[in-house]
Amino acid sequence: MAADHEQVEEIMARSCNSNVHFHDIPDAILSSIFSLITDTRSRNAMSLVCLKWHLIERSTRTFLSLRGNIRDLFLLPTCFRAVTNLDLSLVSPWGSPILDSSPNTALLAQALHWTFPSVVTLTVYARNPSILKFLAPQWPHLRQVKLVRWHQRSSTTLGFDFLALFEHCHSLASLDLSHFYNWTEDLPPALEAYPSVAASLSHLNILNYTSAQGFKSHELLAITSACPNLREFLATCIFDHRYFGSVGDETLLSLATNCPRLSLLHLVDSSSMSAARGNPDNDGYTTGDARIRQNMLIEMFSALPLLEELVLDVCHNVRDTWVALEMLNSKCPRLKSLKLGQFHGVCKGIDARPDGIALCSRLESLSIKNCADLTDSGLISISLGCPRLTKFEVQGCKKITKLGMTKVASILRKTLTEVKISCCKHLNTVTSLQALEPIQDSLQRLHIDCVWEMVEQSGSEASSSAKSAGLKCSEKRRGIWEETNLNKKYKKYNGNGDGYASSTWEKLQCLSLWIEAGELLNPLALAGLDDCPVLEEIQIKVEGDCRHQSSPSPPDDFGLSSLRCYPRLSKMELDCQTAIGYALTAPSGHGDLSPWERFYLNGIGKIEPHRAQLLASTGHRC
Amino acid sequence: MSSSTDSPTLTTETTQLSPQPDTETAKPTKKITLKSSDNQIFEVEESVAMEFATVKSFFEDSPSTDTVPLPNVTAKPLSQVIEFCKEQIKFKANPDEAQKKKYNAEFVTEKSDKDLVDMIPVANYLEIKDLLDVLNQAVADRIENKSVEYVRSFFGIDNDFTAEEEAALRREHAWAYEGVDED
Repeated sequence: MAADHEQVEEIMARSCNSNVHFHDIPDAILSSIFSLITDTRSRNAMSLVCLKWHLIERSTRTFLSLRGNIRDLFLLPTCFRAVTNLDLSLVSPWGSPILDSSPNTALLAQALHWTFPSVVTLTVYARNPSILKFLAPQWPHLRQVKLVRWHQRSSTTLGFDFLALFEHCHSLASLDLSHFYNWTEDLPPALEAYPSVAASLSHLNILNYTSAQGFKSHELLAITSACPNLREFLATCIFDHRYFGSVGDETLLSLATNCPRLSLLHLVDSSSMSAARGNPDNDGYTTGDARIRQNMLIEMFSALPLLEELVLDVCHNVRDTWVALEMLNSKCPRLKSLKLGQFHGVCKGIDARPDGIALCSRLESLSIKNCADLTDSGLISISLGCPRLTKFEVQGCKKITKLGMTKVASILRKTLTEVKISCCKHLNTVTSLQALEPIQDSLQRLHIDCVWEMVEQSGSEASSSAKSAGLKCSEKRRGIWEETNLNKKYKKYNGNGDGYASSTWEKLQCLSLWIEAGELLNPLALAGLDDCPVLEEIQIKVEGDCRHQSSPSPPDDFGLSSLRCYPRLSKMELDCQTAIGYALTAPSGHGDLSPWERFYLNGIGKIEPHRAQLLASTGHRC
Repeated sequence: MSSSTDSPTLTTETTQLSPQPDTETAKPTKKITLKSSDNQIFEVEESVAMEFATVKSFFEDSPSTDTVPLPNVTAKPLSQVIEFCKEQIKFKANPDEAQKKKYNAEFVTEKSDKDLVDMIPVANYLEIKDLLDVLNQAVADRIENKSVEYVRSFFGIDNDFTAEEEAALRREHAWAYEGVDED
């Protein structure tokens, strides 16, 4: 704060002899400056500066995520009249239908319209169909709609949730149902009942996070034939041929012919939506193969000449895909971003001659997930063949090693800014970081898994070397904790004689980590990530089953305090949703905060809480 | 006049270094004199001056003059604007989006807040859209995430709200408060 004041004084001194005052700038320019600022806090602050700023701020505020209690909606201020993008999904109590609480539902809906007359983009928690029945007529010019519902679907006829929306909003261009719980049977009949609305849709997102259901083959075809003008289409589907309605290559081809203008296509198997980390030790092949033949894939690619982004996360083996992928470059000349899941043989990598995916030279983003036979030489061909890659992800590729990733990093040194290495058997935290050394000064975003084995083994000659596998978990945790402490001392005495490269990650802004439940965060800095001067954001995902671990005892802590070493850290997300069972460990009388929660949150106060925005979603799955 | 914007600026330099037989590009570049409000004289190449829409239309109206008076513009911001436009012309002749972006970012980061605010009316008066966009974004970046007090002193603005008005505004903001940034 002191530094702030100095700065303020300095600026005041300078502005005294200024001959142009900020308010001499024409209002039109001020408005365009203001409209460049989207951050809500900044906007709130700006409107408090002076009357003139207040007026300009209000007239340029186009986005509002409405907060407050639904019972007070009649007190809504009418000052946000320029809002075009309104989010009604977060009013509290969260999840309640926003209009049912009032006796004058229709009046309240009208009040919302008066308050926000120019809305074209709406996000709303649609617990039941009646909400849209009242809201949709208020804004007939809605173009983008996102519905939210995690709650059970009410027992109405199929597709009833969408009817009011389609009936009143004829210029609907975008519909997002990714966070809307509904049955896969719901959407097709609703779209078929309103063909003109369906035809005007250019963006449809049915990549559903709220249910484990995937869309069946005939449903996908019904949807895509109703919406022939889709530019962007994202959907969960079933690729497993043992299930009824599974998506095979014929469905893919018909889908492509139904929507020939697609520039973005995401088709993700429903089993992939849970996003659990795979087992790094299996061989990488699933038991069943998907019914996707190479020649049909090629035909599908030829039917989509405008494609720019493609995700095919199949979750069942698609083998020898290099034949089809070699055609991708010529069939889809605009393709920039590609993600493949469970595609094998994407690149043979023989003699470093480019083949398969390595021929897609225009790719800027590539993500390879669960490719069982991707080797280091494959990686080298890819990095030679795709010189424009700025983003590269490998996930669950068992055969690649540090050598291959080092090559990728050094060949793509000039372009690469975002890397993810996850669940690759031969790449633990230390080796991943070492492999990325060539791009250490240019990397901006990084995901790695926290797998400490190497830190333990080679990290300290000073302490006793190996941990026997039979050690109890809590002892193991203590062990690492002591070990890291020891290491720090060791480091102090020896300067940089600790064996790790400790050069700076100059541009790293965003770090994402996966860590197994019960493991500690402390070794992170020791593993090579100790110097990140501009790191602003950390996401930590904890996964695993706490029930198999002994309950943590008080001196143990996860190690959030070790994040102090990042001076610019201002945003952290600690996600324990996939850590199972730790609410059950709450001892009687301490139901408020279980030992596991203490374990994870201990030390959080030490990371400068006044600057840090914390988004901790502690798990409630038991 | 019309050919000026298309012809590459570097032609004069290249002809000076190695005289080419091609006579079309070898013509000497015309200089244009700009006069700021504090009577400073700037000689710029015609192609640079034509980046300024105001100067361009001035010439279209009265093509015989060679000194353009700019009564609303002082010397310092004008020199910076000229510097910016010279670079932009190089990028026009030789498009490289990444380099251009980098240059634009560097151009504003090394400027003081006052320089930025001073340049905006100049860019506006001379109608240089590219520069105006860059400057607007730079000022917006400097307002973002700052406290009310900081912004007031930054721009030398006095608080003209009464305590009641301010409290009312803060109540309005309760409806817009966001605890967490959107991704």
